[in-house]
Amino acid sequence: MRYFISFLSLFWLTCQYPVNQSELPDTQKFLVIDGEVTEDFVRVNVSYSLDRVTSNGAYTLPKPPTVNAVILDGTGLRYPLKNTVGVRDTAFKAKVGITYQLVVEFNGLRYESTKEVLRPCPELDSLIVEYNRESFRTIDDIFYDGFDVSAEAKDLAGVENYYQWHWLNYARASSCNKVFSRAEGREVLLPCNPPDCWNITENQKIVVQSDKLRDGKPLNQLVVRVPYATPPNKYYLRVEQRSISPLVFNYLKSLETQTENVGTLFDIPAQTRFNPNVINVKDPTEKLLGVFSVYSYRRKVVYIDMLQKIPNAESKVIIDPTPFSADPFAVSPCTEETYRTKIKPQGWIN
Amino acid sequence: MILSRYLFKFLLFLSFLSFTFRSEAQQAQQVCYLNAKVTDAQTGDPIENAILKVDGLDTYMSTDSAGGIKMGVKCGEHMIHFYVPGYKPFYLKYAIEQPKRGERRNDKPLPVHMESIINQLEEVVVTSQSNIRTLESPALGVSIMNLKAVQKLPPAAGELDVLRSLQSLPGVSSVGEGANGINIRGGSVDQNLIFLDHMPIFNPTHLLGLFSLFPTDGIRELQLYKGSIPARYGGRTAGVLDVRLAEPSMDKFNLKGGIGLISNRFHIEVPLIEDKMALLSSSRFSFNDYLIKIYNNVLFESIGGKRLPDNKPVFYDLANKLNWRLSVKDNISVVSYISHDSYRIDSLFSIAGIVPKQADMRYGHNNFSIRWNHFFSPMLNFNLLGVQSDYRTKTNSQQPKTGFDFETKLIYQNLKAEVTYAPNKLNRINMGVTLTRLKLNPATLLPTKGSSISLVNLQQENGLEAAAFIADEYELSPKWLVELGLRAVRFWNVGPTQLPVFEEGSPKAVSTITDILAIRGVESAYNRLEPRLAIRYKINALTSFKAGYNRMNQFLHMISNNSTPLPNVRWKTTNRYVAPAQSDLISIGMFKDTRTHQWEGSMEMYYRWQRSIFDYLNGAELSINPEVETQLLKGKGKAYGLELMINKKKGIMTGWMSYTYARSFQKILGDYPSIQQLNNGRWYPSIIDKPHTLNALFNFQTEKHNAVSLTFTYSTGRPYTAPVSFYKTGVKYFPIFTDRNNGRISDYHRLDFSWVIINPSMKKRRWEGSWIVTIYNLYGRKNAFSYFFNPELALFKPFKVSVFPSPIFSLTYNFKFE
Repeated sequence: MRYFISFLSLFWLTCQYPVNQSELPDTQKFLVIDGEVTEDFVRVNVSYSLDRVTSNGAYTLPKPPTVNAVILDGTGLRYPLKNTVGVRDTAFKAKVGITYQLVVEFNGLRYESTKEVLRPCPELDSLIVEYNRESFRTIDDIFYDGFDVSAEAKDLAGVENYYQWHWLNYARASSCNKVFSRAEGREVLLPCNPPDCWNITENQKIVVQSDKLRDGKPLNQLVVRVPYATPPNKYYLRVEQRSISPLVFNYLKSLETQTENVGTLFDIPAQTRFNPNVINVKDPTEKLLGVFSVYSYRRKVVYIDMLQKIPNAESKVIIDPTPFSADPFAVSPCTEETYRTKIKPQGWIN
Repeated sequence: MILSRYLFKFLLFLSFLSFTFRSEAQQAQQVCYLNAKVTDAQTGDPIENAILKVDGLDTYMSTDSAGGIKMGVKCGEHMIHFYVPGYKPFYLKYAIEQPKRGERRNDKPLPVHMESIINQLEEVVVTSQSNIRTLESPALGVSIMNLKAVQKLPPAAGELDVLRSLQSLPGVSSVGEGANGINIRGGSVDQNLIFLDHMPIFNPTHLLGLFSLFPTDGIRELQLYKGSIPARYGGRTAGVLDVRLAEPSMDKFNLKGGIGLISNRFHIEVPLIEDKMALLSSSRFSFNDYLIKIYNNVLFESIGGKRLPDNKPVFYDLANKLNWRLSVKDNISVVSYISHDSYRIDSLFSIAGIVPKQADMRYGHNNFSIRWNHFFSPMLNFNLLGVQSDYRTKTNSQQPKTGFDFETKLIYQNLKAEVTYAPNKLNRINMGVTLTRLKLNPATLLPTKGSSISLVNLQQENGLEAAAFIADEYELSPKWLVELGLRAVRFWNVGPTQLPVFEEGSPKAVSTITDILAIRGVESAYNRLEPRLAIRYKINALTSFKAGYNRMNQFLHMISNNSTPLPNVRWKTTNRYVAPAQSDLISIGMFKDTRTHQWEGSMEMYYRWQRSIFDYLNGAELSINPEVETQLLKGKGKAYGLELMINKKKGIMTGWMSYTYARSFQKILGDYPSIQQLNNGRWYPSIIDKPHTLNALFNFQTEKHNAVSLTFTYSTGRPYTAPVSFYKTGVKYFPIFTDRNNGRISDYHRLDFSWVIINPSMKKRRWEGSWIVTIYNLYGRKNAFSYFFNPELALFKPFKVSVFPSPIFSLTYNFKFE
């Protein structure tokens, strides 16, 4: 049970402050094996946890190991992975009801996941968008005026189901870089090249739910609160509903507990669930991080109309005041990144 | 027929005659009764355990909780002597006579007003027991604090706070400011038995832990047992806090109260029938949430601050006590106590994954007790007590489609018969039997209208605890005094209940359940013996050495893995999977007084072993889990410490200083250490392990109308779980935690100031007012309650939560009407 106790601010009392000096225990290094298998892609990321994190936040990013990775399915198919640094391989297509296993080998060690079955995902029936003002927030909070987006679906009855919701927002990128212009003697923004370029924002919070308390009943899950903001006129949101396994659910739930809603009097002591379904075959006691998640999903796109008549709604989003470069030829390439793309998003309306 | 009627009347006449002659014969023996009531001369509060000695008699007797005493003595003039540690002895030549023929028997007790040494020596602060009692009694680790002492401590936000006051004593701590409950000598908060006039309190705080819930004006004294725990107490393994309400005045109307920023107080004592029946009502209520509206609507813009969330916080507590003196031998006391909290929790709150934006939380106690006190003889006193304590919580979310009501309930019913027998001045025996019934509704989740959530009703838990106890305080010689006690307990966990059966050789988990047992009768039963021992050796008139040993068992457990428990925390009775927690405590101590009684000092050392304590699995789900046993990991604990205290009781400057070195560790192996052990099976510090604590109180009073206090407190920061690294999964970084409690937050220190202006008019009036100006956290230290990591806020740097990060100024007006 977790709480965010904002009522304490009633007394002008409870506050959060960064700690300047603190003693941290010696850094320990762990292998991270993350994998995703879905109906239209596979993604594997093998890396290490951060090295030498100090109390002032300095750290070293370790080089990922070079590994051989393969997906084995229940039908005997063996799919070697070309990439193990977290890039999606869309050539791979998983099927509902089939089991999948991840095998990673390097340095003479072999890591195997348990065999995970691709569970069917119920349709994402609708996305409900509701404007409201959260008067319990302070007036300068960007979420003071906002839209709650909830997913509605029908739980599959008779079996234990576990769900995860993930969202992506695409917004046309007005600029692709900010540079200092010697000619103009100031910082300027550079338009994207090509101009059809989108910035991507995705959810930082883990949204998971089990059907324990609602077997076979309609699911209604708040996925995200979108701040009221103009521009844009229309806010593009793509919501993905995933049907995950109980192991993955528990793992994600523990991650959620670790970082969200912390900083109250009622924090649950911090704890890490190590990888629940991947082991070192030679040494099963080795602590690994990450999880191998096999899931099917359903997606829906919704546009939130920011121009609808909402009395007294105020946008709290601050727009970057930096001017665009006066040079009409000064542009910045729109490169493919996790936060930017030139591929037109699914269901995009100009 | 007519004859038989005459015969009946004749027999009736004979029996009347025989009764009359017997009374006459008794009078001929010239036995009279001394009937007295002993009270504090200044406060009017009755004094319990005042010892009466009458010249020429070898019998001693002590007063009851209402300060009353009745002793049979030879009629005539006597020198009577009342003796109470901490008070000036009371001597009086008094003629005790039978009422003359035709006169009505006068049951009005002799008023004995005793002058406290404290008052006699001007403003002396009492933080623990008075000097004499400390030296004489064999008990160790016992602190008695009266309301006056509580009032000396600068309160946070102007609220006098019992639990915060106790934390100024050595061996008493909490997880941090605003934490719910106190920790005694390395015990968790649920290991303390807290009573308000014999009624147990399951959540001792208002506003999620910010203020304790005792109606301060109605309190006579606080008795805190952290070492020698008398055999009459049982059911918890760490300590006992017995908060006693004042006795209502039988002859005087009293009214007092106070108006503060957080709450207002009202206390009234009304004699209903003079010297027969009186009522006390003491309340505290906080309906000051309108201040938030005033601030938000009027003030915040001019101040330039932020709007405050309107959480509608309301709380109140109300204690009523009716004392009825049936006769000189019988006294009946009826007490009721209600506490209530209500507020809205914003934003995130989740129960089994349901996350409403706002939830309304209400909780409180509804307690009742009745006590009959009877004096059989000058040597024998009998008490019969019936108690019901009902603690309920309700959390409501009106969120569309996922709205719910979440309810918990804990009912405690107790019947206790107790006898105190003092055959002679060297020997005092206390014994009794007690029967307790526990009824728990751990959780009920009810969907609101239109909600898609299913109804969940965890099965009720029932426990029955029967105990018999005996304790004998025996003075072997003027130097040696021993108190031997024994408590025998049997606990039954009873059905109807359904209990999972787990696969043999496997850890308890949902996946290892092989069967469900339906049990109607006794599910499990435990027998426990709890020896208690306290020894005093008087080295000289001013120095004594003591040693003690206690064994305690606990059959009711709080199931919480939060830093500090929430009001709607789950409780659990012992069953076949959750063994009773057990604790053994040994302690030794040296107590020293000075000839002038100006200074006293004490030194105590203790070592405590705990068995069958538990911690929780990583990511444990506790609130709505029908198989909560699967989330618990069994282990053991140990705590040890040294407590030093020096107390100055006289003079313009009074006060005390205490230093505590205390450690608290636990070792959690679980049933299957290879896969369940925490911290690799090593001992690790518990969340309340704070090695060094220093408390100091300085009180300055040069004249009657002004008193200034300064309080300083320092303690080592408590442990927290620090990450050993961070890793990225998806687009986000997460901290990695391995061992629990492997880091320590920054040290805590704070200085408070208080200025009490007593009766500023300086005239003796029936209505007297006083002002209390306090500044809590004078130099505004941002003490950490906890550390946490959130890479979203800052990469890999800790943040701290501070509860009272700036100085808090408060002003309280108190009034008194007599």
